[in-house]
Amino acid sequence: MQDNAVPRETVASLVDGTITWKRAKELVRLPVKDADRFWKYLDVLQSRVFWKEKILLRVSEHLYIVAKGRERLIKCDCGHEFGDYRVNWKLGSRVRVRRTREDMKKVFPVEVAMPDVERAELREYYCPGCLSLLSVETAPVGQLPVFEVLPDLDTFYRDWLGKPLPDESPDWFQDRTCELTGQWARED
Amino acid sequence: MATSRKRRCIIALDAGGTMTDTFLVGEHGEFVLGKALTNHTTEALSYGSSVEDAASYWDMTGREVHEKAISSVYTGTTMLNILLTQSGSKVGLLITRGMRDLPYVERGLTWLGLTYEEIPRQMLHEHTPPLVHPKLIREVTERTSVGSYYMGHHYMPGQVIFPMREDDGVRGVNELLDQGVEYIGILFLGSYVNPSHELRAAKIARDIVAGRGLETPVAASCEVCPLARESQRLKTLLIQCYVTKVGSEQLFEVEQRAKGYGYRWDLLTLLSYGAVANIRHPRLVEAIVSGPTGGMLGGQAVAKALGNANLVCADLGGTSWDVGLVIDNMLPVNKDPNFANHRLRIPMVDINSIGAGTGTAIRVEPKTKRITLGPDSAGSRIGTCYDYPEITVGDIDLVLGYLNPDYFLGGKVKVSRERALEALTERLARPMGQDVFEASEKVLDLLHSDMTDCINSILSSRGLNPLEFNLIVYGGSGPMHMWGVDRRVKFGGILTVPWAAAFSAFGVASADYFHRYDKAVTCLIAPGMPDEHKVFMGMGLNQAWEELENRAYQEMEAEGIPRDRVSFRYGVAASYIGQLHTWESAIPSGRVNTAADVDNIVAAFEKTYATIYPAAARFPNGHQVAEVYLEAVVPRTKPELASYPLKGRTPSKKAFKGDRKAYMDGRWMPFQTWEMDLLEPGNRVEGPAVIEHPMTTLVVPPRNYVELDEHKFVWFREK
Amino acid sequence: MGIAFGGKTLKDAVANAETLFKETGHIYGLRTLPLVEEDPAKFMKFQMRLVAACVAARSTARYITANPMALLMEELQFMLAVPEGDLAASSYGLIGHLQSAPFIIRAMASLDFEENPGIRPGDIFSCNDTRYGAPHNADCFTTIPVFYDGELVAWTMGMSHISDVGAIQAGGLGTMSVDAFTDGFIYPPTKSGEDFRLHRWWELHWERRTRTGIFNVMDEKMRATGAIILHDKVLEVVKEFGADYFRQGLKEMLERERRVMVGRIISQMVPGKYGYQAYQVVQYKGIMKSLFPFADRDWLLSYPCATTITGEGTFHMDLEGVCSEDTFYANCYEPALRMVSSIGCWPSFAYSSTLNTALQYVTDWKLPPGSMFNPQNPHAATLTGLMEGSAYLYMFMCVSALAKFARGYLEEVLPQAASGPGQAMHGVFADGTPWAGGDWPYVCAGGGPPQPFRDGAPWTFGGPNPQSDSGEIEVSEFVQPPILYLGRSIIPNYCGHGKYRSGVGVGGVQLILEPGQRLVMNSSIASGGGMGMPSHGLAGGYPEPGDVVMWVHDTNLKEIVRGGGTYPRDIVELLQWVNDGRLKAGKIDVYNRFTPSVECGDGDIFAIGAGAQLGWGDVLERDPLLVEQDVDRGWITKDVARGLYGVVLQGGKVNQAATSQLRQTMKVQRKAESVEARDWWKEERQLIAGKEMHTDVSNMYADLLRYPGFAGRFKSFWQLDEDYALQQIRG
Repeated sequence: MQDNAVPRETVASLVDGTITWKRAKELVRLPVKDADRFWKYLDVLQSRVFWKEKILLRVSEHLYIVAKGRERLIKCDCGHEFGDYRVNWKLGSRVRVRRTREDMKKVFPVEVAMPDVERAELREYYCPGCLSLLSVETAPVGQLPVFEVLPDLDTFYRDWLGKPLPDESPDWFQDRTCELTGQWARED
Repeated sequence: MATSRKRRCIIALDAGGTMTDTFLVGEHGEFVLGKALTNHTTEALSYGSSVEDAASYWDMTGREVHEKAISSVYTGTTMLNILLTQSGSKVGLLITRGMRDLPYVERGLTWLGLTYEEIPRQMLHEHTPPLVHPKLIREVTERTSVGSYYMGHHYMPGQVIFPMREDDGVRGVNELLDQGVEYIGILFLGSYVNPSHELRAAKIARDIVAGRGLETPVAASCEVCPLARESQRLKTLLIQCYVTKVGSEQLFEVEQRAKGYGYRWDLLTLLSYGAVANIRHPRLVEAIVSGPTGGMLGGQAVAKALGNANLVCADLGGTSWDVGLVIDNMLPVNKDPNFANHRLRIPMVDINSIGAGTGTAIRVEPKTKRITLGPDSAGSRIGTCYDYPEITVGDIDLVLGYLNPDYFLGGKVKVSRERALEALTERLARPMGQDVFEASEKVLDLLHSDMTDCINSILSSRGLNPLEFNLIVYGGSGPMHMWGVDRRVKFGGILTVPWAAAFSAFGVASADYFHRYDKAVTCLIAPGMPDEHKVFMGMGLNQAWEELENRAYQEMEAEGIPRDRVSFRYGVAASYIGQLHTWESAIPSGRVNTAADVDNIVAAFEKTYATIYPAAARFPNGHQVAEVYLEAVVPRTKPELASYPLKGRTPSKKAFKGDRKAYMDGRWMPFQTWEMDLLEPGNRVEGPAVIEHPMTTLVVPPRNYVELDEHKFVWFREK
Repeated sequence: MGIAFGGKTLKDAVANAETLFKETGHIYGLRTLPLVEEDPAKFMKFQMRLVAACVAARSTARYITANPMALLMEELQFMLAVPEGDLAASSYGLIGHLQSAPFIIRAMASLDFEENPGIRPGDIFSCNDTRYGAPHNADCFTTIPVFYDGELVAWTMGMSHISDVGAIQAGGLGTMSVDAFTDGFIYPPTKSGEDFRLHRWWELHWERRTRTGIFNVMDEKMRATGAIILHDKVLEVVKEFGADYFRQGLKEMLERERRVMVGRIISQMVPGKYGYQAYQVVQYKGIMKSLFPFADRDWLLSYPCATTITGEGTFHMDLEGVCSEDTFYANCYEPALRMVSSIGCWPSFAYSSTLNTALQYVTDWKLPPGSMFNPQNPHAATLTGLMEGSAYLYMFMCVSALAKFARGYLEEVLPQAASGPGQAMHGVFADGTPWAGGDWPYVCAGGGPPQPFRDGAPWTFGGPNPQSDSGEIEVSEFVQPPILYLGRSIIPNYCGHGKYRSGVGVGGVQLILEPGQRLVMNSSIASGGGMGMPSHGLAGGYPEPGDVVMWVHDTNLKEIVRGGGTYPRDIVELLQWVNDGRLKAGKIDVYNRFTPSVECGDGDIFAIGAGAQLGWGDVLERDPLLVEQDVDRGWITKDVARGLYGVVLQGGKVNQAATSQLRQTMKVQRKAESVEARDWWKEERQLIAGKEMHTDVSNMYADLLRYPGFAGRFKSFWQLDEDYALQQIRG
C-alpha cells in the first residue's frame, strides 16, 4: 500500500488550527487513515502541557484524562484537576447560569433567535483554574448536566490499540457521578 | 513540396493545459500537425511556435502559411486559468436589493466536482470563489414579477411590482467606479421576462462611465443570458465580467501575432456550443469551452464524411474519459453545465466525463479488497513507471506490453517497466492475492466497464440505440483501450484516426461558424385549446425569434458579415405544463402562423419525449414552450477530409517493426508491432497487433483486425 | 411455491435472513465473501455497474418532475434492494431515506402480498405509510419487483418528497395533527400499477386527496419511471453475470459494507458512553381547544440519548428518558428514526462507493414501548415525527465528533445542529382558483458546522440531503406567485459562536402580494423549538441560535416602496424597522418552533432566519484576526466583536494590547458571575424539590418519572426522596 504516514508537524498543525485547508482535505481523502495518528496526537498534546502526568485521552479542548498514581483524573491543560474521570467533570467546574433575556442576549446577539428563557436556562461551565469556557448547555431546570464522554479506556487500549493499560479493572467503565451528589447531600 | 507554397490553408489551434496543438490543413484536405508547450502568460508565443512547428513539415515558415491562410481558429485556456488562479478583473455588481450575498452563497451548490463517495462527506463541501468582492456589490431597489405557473390567475410575467430607484443605480455605479472596478455587471430578478430595469440600469451605468471618460465595460444579465434561474444567470454574468476582459486581451494578442505573420483576417475562436466565432463576439463567456469540445467537432466532421449522422465521440486522455454524441449531425447541448464547479446557464456541448484515464490512480484496500480507481490522476506524470507515487492504468499498459517503453512520445520520455512491475506486484497483486498480470488485466477490465457505462448512460438517458451509432475513439490513450469498449457494447462501427492525439485541433478547424441565441418565452398550449388561442400563443414565439434574428444580424454585421450570408436554424425547449425541465427539439421554421404549426411543435416535443421515456412518464395535460433558440449560421470553408487511392490489403514491409510479447485474456502472446504513419489506405492489420505512433498506440486483440479506409480512418473490426 | 430463490416464499426468505444475522453476526450469515475473495476486480465491476445503473435512472427520471424540491433541490432517490429488503446500491439524493426501504419490503412480505394482491412482473407498489416503513407521508416510495426466470431476484425503488400530502395544514411538513386521521393522505403498501403502467384510479387518488394533485402525479410518474429504467438495467446485469452471481453478489456487497463501517469505527473512534441532549416544544394550547380538546395543551419534549460505542465497533442507542407518545404530530416509528438519524452517520463512517443499508446491522436502538418513538396506538399521528427523530441525526454527528476528536482525527470532526424551516401554503386567487405550494430552501441548504481547526461557511450543508441546494428564487416564485422575495441574505452575528464559529445563517424576507381570496401559510422547524437540537455547543462553544419564522401583518411596505422608499432585507432589519416606526405593522407572529396555520393578507411580510450551527471552543480563544475579518465582511458586528469575543478594533484593525487586556477582564468577570458546581447543584435542587418549574417542564418530568431508569438517574442525581413525583397539570 502507498504510505499514508502523516508527519507529526501535520498533526500539530491540526491541533493548533494552523493547518491549510488544502492539507486538511488531503487528510480527509486519505484512502486509509494513518494508523498511528493517536500516538502522534498524544505526543503533540503531551508536549504542549507543562505537567508530567501521562495523557490517556483528550476529552475536550482543554481537558484530558491522565494517569496519576493509581488514579485516572480529568485534568485541564492549566493544571487544574477535576478528579476521577468517572464523575462528570462538570461537577468540578464553576457554573454560570443565564436565566434572563438581558443575560442571554450577550451571547445570542440575534435576540429573536435566543433560547426560550421561559423553559430553559443557559449553563456555562468554566475551569476553576483558568476560567476557560469548557462547555455550554441550554437546559430546563432539573436536567442532569450532559456527561459528554465516559470512555471505555481498557477496551480501547487493549482491543483497539493493542496496548493494554497496566491498571485494567471492570470498575473503570462506571458512571460515578451520583456518588458525588450523594456525598454532597450527606454533608449538608 | 513546391506546390505547398501555393496552397490555401486553414490554421486551427487547440491550446491545452500542457501542449498547444496545431492542425494545419490544405485545400485538398492534406494536413500536418504541430505542437508546442503552452505559454500561459503569453499565449501568442506558443501560438507562434506551434504553427511554426506544423509549417515546418511542409517546409514552410509560419509567415508563409499565415499569408496563405483563409482562416485561423484559436481556442485557448486563458479564461479557465483566470478562473482557477483567481486572477480576473476587479468586478463591480449591481443587484436587486436584498440579494447581495447571492455570489457568495451560490445556491449552496458546494459539492459540485465531488465523487459519488465524497458527496456525503460534507466536510469536503466548499464554495467556489465569489468572483466579486463583497465590498464591490451595490443593491438597487426594484422588483419585477416572473409570472407564474397559474398565468392569468395572478401576476403576468414581467409585470413591474416595484419601479427601479434610479438614484440607487446612479450612486452604486459611481461608488463602484470610485473604487476602480474594471467591469460592471448588473443582475435583477425577473430580467429574463422583462429586461427594462436591467437595460435602464445598464444605460445609466454606460452614461456615467462615458461621462467619466472611462471605458469600463458594462454587462446586464439579460444581454449575456436571458434565461430563468438567477443564481446560474449570475454565475454566467460574473464569469463574463471576471474573465473575458483579460481573456479577450489574450485573444487579441494572438491575433496581432497572426497578423504580424501576414494573416489578413479576423482571428476566430471556439464557443461552448460548438461553433466558431470572431474573437469580437460580445458574449465571450460563451468561449469558455470545456476541453473535449474540440474533439466533438472533429466527430461532427467525421460523421459527415461517413454519411452516418449519428456518432458517439469518446476521448481518453491522461485524467478523464469524455463522451459526447453527434445526433443527426448536430451536437446536443446542456444548458445548465457545471464549469470549474460553477453552475452556469449557457448552452455547452453536452459531455459525460468520468475520472478514468491512463493516469488514474489505482488502490486496493487489503482488508476488504475494495478496489478504487481515482479520483486522483497522474496526468502527464504517467505513473510509478515515470515519477508519480501511485500505481496507475499507465503502469498496467506498460507492464502488459501494450505500451512501448522506448517509444513513449516517440522515445522522448523514458519510462521504467521494472519500476511499474515492482509497484504493481506490491500494491495490486499482493492485496488481491493474484498473479500480477492477471490482477492488472482485471483492473483494465474494471476500467473498460466503467468507460462503457459512461457511454451507455449518455445513450440511454436519450433513449438511443448504440447499433444506430458509430463510435470514434481518440485522445492520446483512446486507441490503446478502444478494444475494451468494443467487447462490451455493439455499435454500427468502431473507428479511430492516425491523428487521434491531435483530434481536438482537427475539430476546431472543422467547426461551423454560427451564433446561438436562447430566449425565455411564455407559451402554454392547453388540451382542446381553440385554434385562435393557439395562433395567439404562436405569435409570442414569432416575436421572440424575430428579436433574436435582428440581434443576430446586428452582431454578425459587427463581425463584418453581411445579412445575405446569414441563414437561420430554429428550435424550441418544451415540456408538459408544470414540468420544470424542458427538452429541445429543432423545428423547420421560425414562424408559427397556423394552429397546425403549433401542433407540429407539440408533436416535435412528444417525439423527443417518447424516445427518452417509457409510456408511464407521459402526461397529457397540455404543453408549454419555455424557451426558443435560434442559430445564425454563416457558411465557412472547412477542411474537406482528403480521400486517397486504396492500396493493397498488406501493409508495406517498412511499416512492420517486429514482434513484441503482450498479455491478453490470461496469456502472453506475440503481438506484431507496426508504425502507424507508414500504413496506407486499404491496408489491413491482423490482431494480435500493436500499432505505434509517436503520440498514441493502437492495440488490436487476436480476434480483431483494423483496416484503413480512403480517409485513413482506422476501422476496428472483428475477424 | 414462493417467488423467492429456491421456491421459498418472500416471508420465509426474510425470516431466514434475520435468523442468519442473529446466529452469526454476519449479514446473511456470510462469514466469508467467496466472490470478493475469488475475484475482487470482477466483484468491483459488478458493484460499479449496479451503482451506475441507479445513478443513471435518477439522472434520467428526475426531469419528469414538476416539483422544485425534486428537480432543483435533489430530493429524490433511486434504489436497488435484495428480495429480503436490504438495499445494496443507490443513487445519491435523499440518501437517508434509503434506510426506510427494507421496512417497506419486509412489510409487504409479512402482509403476505405474495398471496394477495400477488407480486408479479410489471407490478408497481406504492407506500407512504409510516407504520409500514415510510419516514412520513410526504416521502413516497414506489417499488417494482425484478423477476428473472420466474424468481424474484431484486426490487427497484424510487422515492421522493412531495410538496403536499393533503393534511389539515398545507404542505408535507404540517405540525397540527392529533392522530392518523388528520395526517392527510396515507397509503399502506398498495399495488398502484401493472404491466409497468400506473392505474388511472391511482392518479385520481392523488388528484382528489392532495392539494398539489398534478405535481404529485408527475412525481409518482417520475418515481415509477426511474424504477422501471433501473429494473431494465438490473436485468441486463443479471444476464451478464448470471443469476447465481447476482444473488450472492448483492449479499456480499452488504456484508462487505458492514465490515467497512465497523472497521472505520474501530480505527477512528473511541469506545465508551457518550451523552447527548436535545429538546422540542409543541404548542397546541388554544389552537386545538374546541375541535380537539384532548390535545389542547403544550409539551416540552426531551430527546436524550445514552449512546454506547461498543468494543465490537457498533453503536447502541438507549432512548429511555424520551417522552411518551401523545396526541401530537411528533410520534414516529423505528424506520423513520433510523432513516433520519442515518444521515448523521454518512459523513463520518457510513459513506460508501455503493450507498446501502448495512448500517442497520451496525446500529441498534432501545426504544421504550409507549414512547413517542415506539407508539403503541395504531392511529398515532406521525405527520412530521421524523423531524423529531432528526434529534438523533445530530446525536450521531456530535458523538462521532467527540469520538474522532479524542482519537486525533480532527479533520473528520463535523458536529452539526439542526437547521432549516420548510414553508408551505395554500390559497385561493381572486378569481376563485385554488392553489398550493411549498418551499424548502433553508432545509436543503444550511450553514456549515465548525471543525476544531476552522470555521463553518454559510450554505454548504444539506440537512436531509448531502447535495445541498437551495434552488432558485425565480423558480420558487413561479410556483408560489403571491410570495415575493425582498431579500435572501446572510444575517450578521447569526451563528453559533466559539473559538471556531459555525457558518453564518441565511434568511429571507418575502412580501405577500395580492393573494386574492385566501392565503394560509405554515412552517416547520427541526431546530429544537428554542431549546436547541442539540441543546449544547461543543468543547465550550455556544449552542446554535434557533431558527426564526415570522409574519408581520398589515404593513404599509408597498406604499413605502412605491413612494420612493425601500424594503428591509432580513429578520433583524425587519424588526428594527418595526421598532423604530419606519414600517407600520399590525400583529406580529414570531416563532422559534413549528407554526400553526397563519392567514396572510396583501402587504403582510413573511420572514425566515435559518442555517446557523453550534460553535466549537471558547469565544475568548478565537483568533482576533478572524474576528477582524468577520467584521470586515459584515458577518460579525463591532459591538459583538467586543462584547462577546473581547476583541478591540480600531479603524477596522485589531488592537492586540487592548484585546488581551479586555479578555483578561472578561475572565475575571467569569469568576465573579459563576459559582462552584456544588452551590449551583444545591440551588437547582431546591427548585426541583420545591417543584418550582414551568408547567411544561414539570409535565415533562411527570411523564418521564414513569420510566424507572429515568426516575432512578433523576432522583439519585438530585438526591430526591424515593416518593418524589409530579402531577400532570393542564395549566
